[in-house]
Formats: sequence, structure tokens, C-alpha cells
Amino acid sequence: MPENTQEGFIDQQKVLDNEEYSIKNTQSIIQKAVDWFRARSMFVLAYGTGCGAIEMPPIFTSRYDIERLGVVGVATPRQADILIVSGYCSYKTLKRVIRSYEQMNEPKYVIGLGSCTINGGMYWDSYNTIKKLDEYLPVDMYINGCMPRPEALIEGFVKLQDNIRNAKSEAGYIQYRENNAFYRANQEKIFGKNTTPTFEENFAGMNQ
Amino acid sequence: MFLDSLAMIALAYIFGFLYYGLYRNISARVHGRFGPSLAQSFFDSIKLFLKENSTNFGWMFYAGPIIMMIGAITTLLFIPYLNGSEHLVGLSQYGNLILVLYLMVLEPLGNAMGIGSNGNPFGVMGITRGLTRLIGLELPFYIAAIGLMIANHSADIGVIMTNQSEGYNAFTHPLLFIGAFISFLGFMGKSPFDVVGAPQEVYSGPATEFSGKFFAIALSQSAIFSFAKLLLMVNLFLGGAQSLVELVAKTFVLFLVAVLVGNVYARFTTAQSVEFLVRVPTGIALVGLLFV
Amino acid sequence: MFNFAMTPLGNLFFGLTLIVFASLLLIKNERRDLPLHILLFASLGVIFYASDLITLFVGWEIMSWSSYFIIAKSARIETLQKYIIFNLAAGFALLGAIVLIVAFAGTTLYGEIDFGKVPEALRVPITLLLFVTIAIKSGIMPFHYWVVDTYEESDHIFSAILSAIISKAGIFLFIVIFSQIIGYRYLHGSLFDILAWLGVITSIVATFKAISQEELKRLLAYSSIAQIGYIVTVLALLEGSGIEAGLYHTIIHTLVKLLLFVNIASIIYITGKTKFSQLGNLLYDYPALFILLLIGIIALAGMPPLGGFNSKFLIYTTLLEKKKALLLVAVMFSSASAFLYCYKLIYGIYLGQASGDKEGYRELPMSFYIPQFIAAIILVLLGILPSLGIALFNPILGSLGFEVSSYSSLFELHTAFASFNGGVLMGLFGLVFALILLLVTSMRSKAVKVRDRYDISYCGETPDPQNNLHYGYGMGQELRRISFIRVILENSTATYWEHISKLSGDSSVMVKKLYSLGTQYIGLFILLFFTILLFLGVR
Repeated sequence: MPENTQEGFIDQQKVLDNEEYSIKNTQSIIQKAVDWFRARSMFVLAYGTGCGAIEMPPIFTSRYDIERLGVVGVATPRQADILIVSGYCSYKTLKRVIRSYEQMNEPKYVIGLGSCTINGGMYWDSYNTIKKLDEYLPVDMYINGCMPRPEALIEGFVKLQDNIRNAKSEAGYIQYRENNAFYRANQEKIFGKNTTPTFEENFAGMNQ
Repeated sequence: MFLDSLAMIALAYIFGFLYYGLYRNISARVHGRFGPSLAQSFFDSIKLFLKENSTNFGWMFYAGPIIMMIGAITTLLFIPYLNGSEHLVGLSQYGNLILVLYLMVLEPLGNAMGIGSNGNPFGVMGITRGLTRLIGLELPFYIAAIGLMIANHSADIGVIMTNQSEGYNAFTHPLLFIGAFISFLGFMGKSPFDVVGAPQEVYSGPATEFSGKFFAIALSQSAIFSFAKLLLMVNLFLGGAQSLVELVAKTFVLFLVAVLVGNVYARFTTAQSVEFLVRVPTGIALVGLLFV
Repeated sequence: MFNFAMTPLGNLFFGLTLIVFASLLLIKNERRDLPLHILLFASLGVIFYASDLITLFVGWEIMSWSSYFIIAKSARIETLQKYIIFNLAAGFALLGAIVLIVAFAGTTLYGEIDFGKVPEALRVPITLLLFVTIAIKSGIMPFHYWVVDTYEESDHIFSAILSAIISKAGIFLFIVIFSQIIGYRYLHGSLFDILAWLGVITSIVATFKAISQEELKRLLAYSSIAQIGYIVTVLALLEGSGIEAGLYHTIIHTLVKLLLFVNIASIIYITGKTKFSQLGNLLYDYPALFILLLIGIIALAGMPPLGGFNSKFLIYTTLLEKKKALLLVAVMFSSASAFLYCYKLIYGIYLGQASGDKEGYRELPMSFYIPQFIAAIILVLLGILPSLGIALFNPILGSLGFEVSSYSSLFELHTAFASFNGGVLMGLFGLVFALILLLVTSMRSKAVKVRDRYDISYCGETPDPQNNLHYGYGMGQELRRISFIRVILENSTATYWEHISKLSGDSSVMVKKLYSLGTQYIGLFILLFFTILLFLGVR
């Protein structure tokens, strides 16, 4: 895995796009079909954390009509496949974002919308805003810009669908499950020990 | 009989999802969009079946969607598809209209049990809204059904269907039809009677905690169930159908009207919808009943 | 002096009594007064097997008084007053009707009474007196005033007896006196139309009242009133098929209320709480009780595939045959609204989130399960074999001189309007359930149990036990926003009865004044009295 030396979109995306980072294309036929369906139908939990939230509603309108691609908004995290974190994310919001993410069912993907989710953007020196979303939740797709236009968001969706369909990169939720200690430690740096809910406990339930 | 029933369920599943796809498409056109592909709802349900995990709240939550599915399938199997055909009749000779009216309530019951057991207040709010709405919703439909049963002197759906060779009940009993049709719009869960799952008010209403395969089953049963309701309306008021093509044509017309009405009207509140249903369609249907 | 006869009708009612008493007496209860219960049981036997009117009346009075003393152990004095005043009125009305009948018919024996001898002018008053008796005992509006408080405040197990059996004494009296003793040909049809409408209005009003109740037992009491409203409605059609439907619903209602009241009694025994707002989320602690209650409410709501549907089906087809469309609309409206209180009952106790902690809960003795199991098994059996009831009622209809309905197999319930097959229905339910369950469990998607009860999607927030998430208290409150339901909920017959009680209080004060005038006036009154007597004698 290449070292992530600098903070910034270009480097971050390089990491995600790197050949070494991506898994080898070894889908079975069944898995291919499964992935095709997953790419074809996406339920979005649009968590309007920051100013990027204003860029999300237009994509559902008649001008951009993202429903063509099979992307639909849902109200509850239980049914959602995709979490859009739209812009800067304060500590208080992050707690809710993590809670929502952990209530989503696998497979689940995170889209980071706007520069703030990459390196803090204009909030780079804020005392109560996270700088890199990837330290707390595994991001599958970054969309750069401040603000990115709805076209950019649509392109992000298309690219994510392509990633899922062809299994180009390891999905974030698998990383979250396997490297949970890392994410957990980062989350605890902000919230302390008494963070609710704890992923291990949720995850332990899976084996029952 | 078993294969016959399976064919009925499969047809209802396919048509239900196709109609739901059409609904999304037509709504999109009304909004000035292109809309998703026709099979999009089908893709959605397959994807939900294929989710890696689904949140479970205990055995009653697990059984809830299954009871809903039983409600949808049993309702469907007691309604014959075709007029005078030996095929696609299911178990309709063992049942009647009163039974079907009661089986239609089983789906809300399964929903209510499953959702009640998960402890989410939003879900129960939706359920209470739904059951309150049911008070008003069933009244015009029951009146219309009673009128037809008395007019035909039978509660057998097949008899009511075949007795319409001279004129559809929709034309011979127009007031009953109007009353039942307004209530049917509510049964389809479209505007203006969609208080149950209003996302701006009660999160997702009853579906709030359904995820993965449970949500997939809920979607599938609602596809089957809405086709069963269309079928019932066609059999009772539009003289049934001689062939599958005719059936599709008739159900589609009914469905189209429901969708277009749903796209035009804003949502009633629970109290408004009950009061409206108890006044307007019930009044119309009662006048129709007096003519019978 | 006392004459008894074994009739099929008496056998049916006595059989129900036996089931209820035998299963309820198994439950250990220190507060129960066994001699009074045995007296009550015996009095019910006297009523059901009596073959002359005096025996019937004696049994009726013993029943009222023995239940009075049982209720007196736990009820407030106001409730007792209500109970005894109404039931005395019922007894007097019955006695008046009996005296009038016997005076003209010349005999008290059921078989020898010829109602044709009673003059035309007295037939309507006799019918009305009997209506009052029946209405008070079964709680038909506006005579249901005593029912709810009595049910609520009597012993939890005794409420089951009150609702399951004692309210059925009115139904028994209806069938016996109108079809067997008087005979339908002498009766005034329009009076019974009014009674039918009273029955159905009772059931509508009681249904909405039930939805808005906050106490478990009050909800069940109102539900009891509503269900008996159906029975009276269908009996008031004065038809053989009406009696059949009424008897079927009697059986179902006896079993359902036995099950539900014992279930509620179990919950109150365990928790010591009686309100919906205090309970919740007992599902996973007491799954057996939950399933029994579920069976009970499915039968109460009249949903297939359990026995409750059969009686509803018979009621509907009977009304259809008589072309009572408006009555049928009202019955269906009431039973569609009943789903809401059925759901409130099960949700408020077993589902949702717990309100308050579960400390201090007692262990439930096994004997509480027995009546519930018996009722549940019979309800399921009647669901599979719906014509079992018809087989039971045929001798009764035969003995009352009605046309006996035929049935080809026990699985199929057949009426002139339609038929359905209970066996196929239950089989279909089982098969579909098994297939779907197989499908769901074999799916790729794994069902992951949530970490705790509070892991719900709650807009990203994390609720804790301090948040009140139970909806049991509020359920039904929003019905007040609907104008016609608000009218029902905000009015009650209580004001009317209070007015009557105030009037009678005032008049008794006036009578009392007469006596407190002084001795000289009393002499005057005596003189006046004898003068009037003399005057009458001269004429």
C-alpha cells in the first residue's frame, strides 16, 4: 500500500485508485450477479451534515434525475446502502453519523462530499470539526470541491457503481469490520470511552 | 391445484413489481423526469434479498413479515383470476368475498405485530395511523361489497363476476363503484391517503426498522397484495376478464387512475382522511346501497 | 314446586359454565370465597335447566345476589350501589313480566304457556320489561352503566366469570323466553328492530370507548359490551339462522373473554400494574402468554383462520339474508374499528419499549395457563372445523322448532349466501407459513440480533431508558380529532343516570317531608285514605 504522505484530495484518491490497494478481480459468476444488483440499486441515506447538503436535493429533481441510475433516498439507516456525509462534520454531528452508519446493514458504502471530508477544507483549523473523515469511517468515494456541483455527485455515484460492479476496490465496510480497532481508537480520541454504540458489541451479535 | 396457485403467486409477483415500476415511471413523467427502468423495483427487492445482514429484533419481528406475506398470498389465492376459466382459480371455490375482506386485514396485523415488537415509536405511530385510517377506509368498501352481495344474492366472487355479462357492476351500480373506488385508492396507499408511511412526519412509518430481507419480503408482499386488490376490484366491478390480456388491460386502467390521482393530490392528515372517507364515499355508497 | 328439564340449549350454556368454572377454580386465589362461587354456579345451573318461570326467577335472583357478595369483597361502595340497583331493576322487570304472563296464561311451566291468551295490549309492555332485564344483564346501552366499573373493580379472575358467563345469562333468557316460551309469532317485529339497532349502536359506541381506555380491564369490559351488542342484534332478527349465529358468537365470546381476562389477570398478578402506560415489552419474558393473547385477539377481531371468523361470518350472512343492509354496514363498521383496541391491548402490554423497570415481578403459577390453553385449543379447533358449532346447535334449533341447517362436512361452513372451508384455510396458512419461513431462513442475508432494545433508528440519536418510548398510553388519543368519534368519546350515559338519581333523591326528600309534618297530620292522612277507600267501594 503506498504511503499517504500528504493531506489532500489528489493523494487520497491515489490511494483509493492504486492497483496494489484494489483487490484482484476474482468474482465468481454468482458474486458478479450479486454485485450487479447491488450496483443497480442504491438506497441513499443523505445525512445533511454541512453546507454540502444543499447540493443533494437537486440530484433527485427533474433536472438531474438520479433515479435513472437506481438511486433512491430513504429516511431510515436500516434500509440504506449509501451514507453521504455532505461537507464539514462537527464532533457533535459525527456521533450521529457513526450511529447511523453502524445501524446500516452490510454492504454499506460512504461517500464523502466536498473538500471538508478530505482534509477539513476551510475548517482545517477548527477546534470542533473533524479533518479527515476516513479516520473515523471508511470512505468509498470522495467527491472533491467546495462545493461540488450535482454533476460531480452524479459522477461519483456512477464511479461507485462501477467500483461495486467490478469489485475494483475492497469495500469500506469490510475494512471497518477488520480494522475496527483503528477506527474505534480514533473515535474514542474525540468522544472518550463512553461512546455509544460500540461496534464490537454490534458485531458480536452477528455470530449468534 | 398447487401448480395453479404457484402460477397465481408468480404472476402477481411479476405484475405487482411491473406495476410498481410503472408507478415510478409515470410519477417521474408527471414530475418531468425520465424515471428509473421498469424493472427497478424488482432490482431493489433482489438487492435487499442479497444484503449481507438484516437487523433482527427477536422472533416476533422475524415472524411479522411472514404473517404479512401469508395475508397477501391467502388473499390472492381466494380471488379467481379469470372469468369462467378452470385455470388460475386457486382456492376460490373454498372461500368467498367476506373471507377475502377479512384476509385483507391480516396484512396490517402482521405488520402491526412485527413493528410493535421492535420498540420503535415511529413504527407504532405509523401503525396506529394505519389502523385509524382503516376505520374510514373499510366502510365504503364494505358498503359496496354488501350492495353487490345483496344484488347477486351470493357472496361468491365467481358468481358476482359471472353475473356481469349484461353490464359491468361499475355501470349498473355506479354509486357503489365510486364509493369503493375512493376507498380502493386508500387501500393502494397512495396520496391523498398515505398518512401511514409519511416520511416527512413519522420517519418511514411502519417500515422504519425493516431492513434487508425483511424489507424485501415486505416489498414483495405489497406487490402481490396490490395486485390482489386490483384483481378484486376488476372482478367485482369490471366483470372479471376472459383472458390474461384483458385482465392486464383492466387492472392497468384502474392502476393508472390510482397513480394519477395520487400524483395530483396532497396528503390528508389521519383525522381528515377518516372524516373524508366517512362523509363523502360512504355517503355516495350508502345512496347506492339504497338503490340496491 | 321447582321444575327442571334437560334441554339442548341448557346443556350448551351449562357446558360453557362448566368449562369456565372448572378451569378458573383451578387457579389458586386466597381472596376467593368458594361457597359463594359454588352458589353462583348452582344458580346458573338452575337458570339454564329450569322449566318453569318461578324457578328461572329464583335462579336469576340467586345469581345476582351471590355475584353481589363476591364483588363486594373488592369493589368500591358506589360501584356496588350501581350494580345492585341495576340488577334489582332487572329482577323486578323480570318478575313483572313473569307475573303478567302467568296471570293470563294460568301456568308457569314453559311447555304449557300459551302466550295467545295474554291480551294484545299487554304484549308490548311484557316485551319491554323483558328487554330491560336482558339489556341490563348483558349491558346493552343505555343500561350498561354498571358494567364497566363492576368488571374493573371485581377480583381479576371473577371478571372473567362476569364477562364470560354471567353476561350470557341475558342471552340465554332472550332465546328461552322469546323463542321457546312466547313464540316469535306473537312478537312485535318493530320493537325488535329497535333492539337490533340498540345492539349495534352499543357495539359501535363501546368499541370507540374501548379504544380510548387506559386501564386494561376497562378496555376488556367495553369490548365485552360491544361483542354482546352483536349477539343481541343478530338475535333480534327473530330468525333460526339468527339464533345459530348468536349462539356461535356466544361460544366464541365466552372462550375469548375467558382467555383475555385470565391473560390480563396473569399480567396483573405478575406485575401488579393495571395501566397500559405502566407496562410494555413483556413479549420476550412471557412468550407463551403473548401467543395466547394473540390467539385471543385474532378470535376477538374475527379474523380467519380461528373460530372468531365463523361467528362473524354467520352474523353477516344472516343479516344479508334478511336484507338488513344498513344494520350490516353498522356491524361491519364496528368490527373494523375493533382492530384498533385489539392492537392496543396486545401492544400496550407485550410490545414496544418497557415503561419503568421490571423489578418486583412475581412468578406466575402454571394454573393461570390452563383456562387460556383450553380456550385457545377450542378456538383453533373451531377454526379448522367450523361446522362443529353447527353440529352442536342443530339439536337446539330442532328443539326450539326452527329449521335445522345442513352441513356436508365438518370442515365446511355453509350458508345460503356462501360457504368456506376451514380446513383448507388452516392448511393453507400452515403451508404458506412453513414455505415462507423456509425461504426466509435459507436466505443469504443473515438476521443479526440487535445489541439491546434501544438500538432503534431514532434519527441518529441514542435513546436511553429515561426516554419514554412506549406508545401504549397515547394510542387512541388522537381519535378525538375525528369529529364523530369525539362526540362519542365525550358523551356518556353517566350524566343521564346521575340526573335520574338526583331526581329520585329529590322526590324521596319530598316523601320524607310528609312524614315529618307531625302526628295530627298523620291522623288526617289516615282519614283521607279511608275516605277515598270508601268512595271507591261505593262506586
